Amino acid sequence: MSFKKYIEPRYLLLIIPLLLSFDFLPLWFILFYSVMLVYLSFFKAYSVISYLNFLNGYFIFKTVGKVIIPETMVPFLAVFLVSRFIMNKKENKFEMYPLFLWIGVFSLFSSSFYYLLYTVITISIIFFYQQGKTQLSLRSIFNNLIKHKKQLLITTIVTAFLFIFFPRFHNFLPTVNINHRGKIGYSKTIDNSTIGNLQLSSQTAFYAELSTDLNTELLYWRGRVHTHTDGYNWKHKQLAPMKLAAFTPLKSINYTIKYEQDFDGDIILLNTPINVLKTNLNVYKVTATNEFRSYTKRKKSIISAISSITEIRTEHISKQNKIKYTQLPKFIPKALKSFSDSIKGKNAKEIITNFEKKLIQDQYTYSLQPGKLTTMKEFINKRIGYCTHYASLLGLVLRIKKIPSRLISGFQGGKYNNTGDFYEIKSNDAHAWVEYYDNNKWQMADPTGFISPNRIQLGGQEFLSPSFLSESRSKTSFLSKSFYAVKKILDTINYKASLFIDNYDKNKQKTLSKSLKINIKTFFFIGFILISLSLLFYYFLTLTNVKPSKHPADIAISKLDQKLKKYHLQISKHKLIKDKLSECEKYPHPQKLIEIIDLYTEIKYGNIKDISLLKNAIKNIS
Amino acid sequence: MKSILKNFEKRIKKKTKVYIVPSKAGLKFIFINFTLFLIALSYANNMALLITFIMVSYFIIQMLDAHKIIADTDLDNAKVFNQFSNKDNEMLLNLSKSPEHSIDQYLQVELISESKRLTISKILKFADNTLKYALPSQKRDRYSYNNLKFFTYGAQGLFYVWRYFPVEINYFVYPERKGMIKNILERDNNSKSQFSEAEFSHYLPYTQGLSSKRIDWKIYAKKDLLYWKKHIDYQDETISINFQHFDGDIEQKLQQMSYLIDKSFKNNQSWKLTLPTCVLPTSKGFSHYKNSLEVISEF
Repeated sequence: MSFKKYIEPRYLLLIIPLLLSFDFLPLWFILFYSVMLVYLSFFKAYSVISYLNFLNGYFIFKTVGKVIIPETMVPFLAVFLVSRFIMNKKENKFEMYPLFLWIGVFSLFSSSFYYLLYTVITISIIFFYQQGKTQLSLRSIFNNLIKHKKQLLITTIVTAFLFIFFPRFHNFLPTVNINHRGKIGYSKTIDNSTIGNLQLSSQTAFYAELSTDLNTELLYWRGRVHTHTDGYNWKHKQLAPMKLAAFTPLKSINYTIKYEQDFDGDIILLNTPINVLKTNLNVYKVTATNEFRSYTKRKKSIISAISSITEIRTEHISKQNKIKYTQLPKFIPKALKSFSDSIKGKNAKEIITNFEKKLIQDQYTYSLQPGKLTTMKEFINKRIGYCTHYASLLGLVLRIKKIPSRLISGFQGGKYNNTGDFYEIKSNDAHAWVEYYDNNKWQMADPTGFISPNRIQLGGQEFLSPSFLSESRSKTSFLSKSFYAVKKILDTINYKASLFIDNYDKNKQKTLSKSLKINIKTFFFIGFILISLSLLFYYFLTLTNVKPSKHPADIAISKLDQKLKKYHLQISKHKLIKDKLSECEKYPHPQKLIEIIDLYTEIKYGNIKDISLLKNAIKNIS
Repeated sequence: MKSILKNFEKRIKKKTKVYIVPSKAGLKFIFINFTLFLIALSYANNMALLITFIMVSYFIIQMLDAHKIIADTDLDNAKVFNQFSNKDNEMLLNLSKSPEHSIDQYLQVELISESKRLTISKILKFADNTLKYALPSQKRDRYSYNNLKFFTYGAQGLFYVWRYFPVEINYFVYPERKGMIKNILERDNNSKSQFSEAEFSHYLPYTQGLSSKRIDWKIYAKKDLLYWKKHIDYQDETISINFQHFDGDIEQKLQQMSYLIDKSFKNNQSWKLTLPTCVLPTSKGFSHYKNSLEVISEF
C-alpha cells in the first residue's frame, strides 16, 4: 500500500497548525482533530465526519464558546477548516484561504516566526496546486518559486513597505485575558477550592534576555502579591501605600523581558525587582507590595528592568499593613489548627524548618493531578497537591503563628539559550511561593521545594514536561546533541525575529520619521508613494517583455506585400481572411493570390506545416 | 524606459476595455484578510499584521497578473472548422500578442451571439501563437458568433478578468453520420457471410430506376424496407439521396443522409440531394459535399 496515494501534501498543511497550536488548545480537541484528519486522508467518510463535527462543535461551545473573541475563535476556525476540506468532494478544488485566518489568530497567543514561514509555504503550495500540478516535491516547489521570482521579489518589497509605513492603531475590539481554567499557567488569584487537576501547557509565557546563565533555583519571576486569605484561597487586597527606602544592591542584574501573554496588567519581573528602566507600557509601582503593574492590558509588550537576586531590601511595614498581613478568616478549620499546632518554633525560620520536616514526615507529595480538593481539610487529609496548596498552607501556618506573610504568584525556572542569551519561560513554569516578614525584611520560602526539590532545581517545564531530546541526554548522544544545537539556533532566530517584529510600533515609526526629519503624515505619504511605485514598476516591467510575435506565414505574406507594392495592395494589414481575399480582387490575376491566401490559411490554422510551399508560391508572383 | 513609456501609451490608446472584479474565491480571500487585519490592528499584533500584509501583497500581485493575462492577449483571427456533431471539434485562435507566461492554462473563451453564448475552457494546444480549443459537442446547426470574450480567473482563481473582441465566426455542425442499414447488418451475423467483402460497397434506399436484382430481401423481410446493395462495379452510378426515402424521425433521416453524402464523396460518386425545402442537383466534389452537408445541417 502506497501512503503517497492517500496522504496528499495539502493535508499536511492542516497538520502543521495543529502542532503549532499544541500549547494552547485543549488535548481533547487535538485528539479529535487528528481523528478527523486520519478519516479525511484514508476513508473520506463524509457522513460520519459530519456527525462528529457537530459533536465537536457542541464541546467547543461548552468549553470556550461563552465569550466569542478572537482567542476563542481558534477551535471554531479549525473545525470550520477541516469541514470545508471534508465536504469538498471534488479532489482538485479546495479552499486553503481560511488557513491564513487560523494561523493569524495563533499569533495572538505567541509570536513565532514559524507562523510567517508557514504562511509563505502555504501560499507557495496553493500556487503550485492551482497550476494544476499534482506531483508535489520540495524541488518542484523550489523550481516554481524560481520561476515566479519577480512576483516573489515584489511581494517581499510591498510587504516590507506596508509593514514599515502602515499607521498603527489599537484597542478597538473587545478582548479578554484568556485564562484556561484547569490549565497550568499564571493566575491573578490563588483559587484552590475550585480548580482540581491541572493540564500541562508548553505555551511560551515570556522571554527574558539575560547575559548570564543563572542557577535555575534562583530564577523566581515575581508577579502578583496576594495578601488576603479565606483559609484556603488567596487574593490581592489593596494595602496602604508606603515609602520604600533607597536600595542599591552590590550586585544587580539588568535584563529585558518580552511578554508573549497578557497577564492582566501584572508585570512579571525577576525577584527581587528594583526598578523598571524602559518600557512600551504605562507602568506604575505598588510600593506596599513591591509590585509593578501596567494601566494598559496588552500582549507582546517589552520591558527592561533591574533586579537583585541575592540581596534583600530592608523594609518597615506600617502597623496597619501588619494587621492585614496577619489577617485570617474568622473560622479556622480544626484540621488546619491541629496541623499548625503540631509545628513548633520560636521564630519564622524555625517554624519553616519544622514545617518542612512535618511535610516530609507525613509523606506529602507533589502532583498536578490531586483531584478536586475543595477545602484545606481535604488537602491536609489527602496529603497531595501542587504549589498553590503548599504555599497556601505555609502562608496560613505563618499567619496563625502571627508572622506576616503573603503569597506570590509568578514563574519559577526557564530554559537558557546560550546562542541567543535569553531565557524562555513557559506556562509550565508557573509557580506560587510564600514571602514572610522577618528581621525587617521580606524573605522568600518555597514549600514546593521541600517535598519536590527537583521541581525547583529543574524548573517547571523541564520537571513536568521533559523533552524527548533534553539537554542532559544530549551529552551522550551525538544525534540529540546536534539536534539540540540546531534547535537552539532556530529558537534564537525565532526570538530575535519576533522581537524585531513586535518592537516595531507607533513610537518606532515616530522615531524613524524624526530621524528622516519629516513629520509622521509625510512619512505615511512617502510609504504610500513607495508602495504604488513598486506595483507600477512591476506591472510595466513585465509588460516590456511582451513581444508581438509573428507567425512565419504572416512574415511570408508581408514579403508578398513588398512585391505587390506597385499595385498598392496590402494584404497583411487585414486581420480577417475575408478582407484579405477581397484585397486580392484588386490584383490582375486574383485567382493566383486567392490560392496563396488559401495556402496561408492552411499553414496558419490547418494541418499543413511546410512553410516552403507558401514561400515558393509567393516567389512565383511577379 | 522608452519601451516602458511606449507600452504605457499603447495601453492607454487601446480601444477594448479590460474588466476586472474579484471572483467568489477572491471575495472570501478579502473577507479573511480583512478580519485578520482588524484583529491585528486592534491588538497591535505585528506578527498578525505582517501575515495580513503578505496576503495583501499577494492579492495585488495576483490582480496585476490576472489583468495582464487578458490585457496582453490580442486576437488576430478566430476560426472554427465545420464538423460532424459526434466528432470533436476545435477552435483556432491566432494571437497577434500573447502574455509572457503560460496563458494556455488560464485563458478561457466565450463565444457570444445575440441569442446564445458558448463557453470554451479546454485548451488543446498552444504553439506558434495559435491557441487550439476543444469545442464542446454541439447539435447539428449553423452557428454564428459576432463577439469573442477572453476571460480568466487568474493563476489563483481570485479574480475574474475579461475582454471582448469583435469577430465573425461561422461554422456548421453536420448531422452525425449513421448508416442505419449497417447497424442492421451488424446485429445480424448470418447476413455478413452472404456478401463478398471485396465486391460489396454499401446499401442505398431503393429508388425507382434501380435494378430490382440487387434488392436485399433479407432486410425487406426484417424491416419491411427496400434496400439496394451497392457494389464497387456500379460506383459511377448517380445516387439519389432523398429525405422521403429514409426511415425514422427527422434527425435519424438526416443522420442517414449525412452518412451517404460522406460515403459518396469518399467514393468519388455523384449524388442528388432532395430535401422537402430544396433540391441540390446532381454533382460531385468537395464544394458539392460541403454544400450538401451545410444544407442538411440547417434543415
